[in-house]
Amino acid sequence: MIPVIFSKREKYIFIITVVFIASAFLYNFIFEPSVKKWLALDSEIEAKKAEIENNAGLITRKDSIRREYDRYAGPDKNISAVLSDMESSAHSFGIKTSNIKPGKEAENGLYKEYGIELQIEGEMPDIIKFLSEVVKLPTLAALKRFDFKLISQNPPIFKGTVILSKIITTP
Amino acid sequence: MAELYALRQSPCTKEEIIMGFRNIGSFKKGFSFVMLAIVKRQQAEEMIRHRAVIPGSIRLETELLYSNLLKKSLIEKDRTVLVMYIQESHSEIMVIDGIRPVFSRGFNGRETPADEINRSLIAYGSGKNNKKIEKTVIVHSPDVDMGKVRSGFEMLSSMPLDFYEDKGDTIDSGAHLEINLLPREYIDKRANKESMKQAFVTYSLLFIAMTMLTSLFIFELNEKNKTILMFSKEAEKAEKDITRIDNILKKTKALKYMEEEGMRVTGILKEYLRLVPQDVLMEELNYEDNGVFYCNGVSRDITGIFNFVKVLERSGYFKKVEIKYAAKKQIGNREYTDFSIGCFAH
Repeated sequence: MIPVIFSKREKYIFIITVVFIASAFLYNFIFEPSVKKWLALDSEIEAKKAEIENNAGLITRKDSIRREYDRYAGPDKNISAVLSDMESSAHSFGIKTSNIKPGKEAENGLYKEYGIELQIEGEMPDIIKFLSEVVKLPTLAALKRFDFKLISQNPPIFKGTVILSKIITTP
Repeated sequence: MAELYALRQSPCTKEEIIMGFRNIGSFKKGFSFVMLAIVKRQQAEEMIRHRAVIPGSIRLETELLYSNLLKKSLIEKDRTVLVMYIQESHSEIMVIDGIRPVFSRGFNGRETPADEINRSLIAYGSGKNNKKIEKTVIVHSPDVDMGKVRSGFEMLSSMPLDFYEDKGDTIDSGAHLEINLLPREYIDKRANKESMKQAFVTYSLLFIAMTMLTSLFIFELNEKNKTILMFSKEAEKAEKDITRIDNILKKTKALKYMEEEGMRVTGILKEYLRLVPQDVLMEELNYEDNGVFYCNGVSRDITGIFNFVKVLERSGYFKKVEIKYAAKKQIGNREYTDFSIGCFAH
């Protein structure tokens, strides 16, 4: 083996290089992963703690949540009963209805959303009263679209189509 | 500087001698008064060879005696004192001018002290600049028969004599010494050994500290994992109830949205009809679920249509209100304007 003789300057450079490489190794393979692991565990603990606190809060509010849900979902019926209710409500406001038909149906696991197409005829104040009644509980149908045309002027009678949406929750 | 001066005075080469010095003080002119000791390397190495353990230092007994005289205040700053240190095996004579040792001589205990003292005093007296001795201090070890020696000293000296018995503390190891005659390589070897020992202790402590830190870190990680596991179990226990409550919340949210949406659109229709002016006749109303609202109608004049647009914009329910179409038409003998307005309702 050939003995390597370093000058003083080379020796310092060699020592600095070795220290630098060792530091880089320690930093990249030991220090940084350890810190990352530590921080990851900390954030996981925080997330779990928040989840447990949130769960505890939900369990505490369980009864009030249930009561609120029952208020909205209590009058849930099948779609034909809803259509029938709408028709009778329209008549009570002096609105003529024709061609009431259920539209598209969409399901997302928690509830079914039905589209309802309804042709109505009447004076605008009565139409507004009818629609205001339909969007409230117990019918609770959202008004999506409407298209009205004036068909007579004295008195001003409007005729048109109303598209409503109704949610029926699954148990 | 002291080394250079010593080399100039010595007939030996640098490699053949070992030297040490102690700075006693400085003159006003800038010169220093230095106690310089030179020993032949060979002699020092022979001394070391006769010992089982290599000593930490080789001290000059003269410096040791001088340091202790200073420490015990046996010399006086303003007087020239002759100090005689008498032992069974080795004795030393020293003349100290103030605090500066100006003469020193050692001799074997076997030799007659009186003769040696005589010779030393003659040698000291021959120095032209040497001051007259004003006081004599005799320090002796307890094993010396002072009865015999004392009479000899009293015959020699007419000045007062102070006798001190050395109880083993005159030359103690706690004195501050600067001259070390141990060869450099032994000092270096000892220093290397010492520094290696220190490095070993330091690195051992460092290693222990690192190990403890790592252990603490691993312990903390395990504790954190345990905490996560405990929380996960707790969360898992409540999962069924939480899923059910969560589903109820989602359903309630959807139903609430339905109600709000329905109220919002009927609100738009109500507001629109409230804002329609007397001179405008509504003929057609159309609303799409993307929020686009159209209305067609007839107005008595175009100004009424523009006013209507302004009213709609100010209401807050409608934005980007635009007249899409406006045309005049004759009904009977009167002129009307047909119009179409488009806007976003929100």
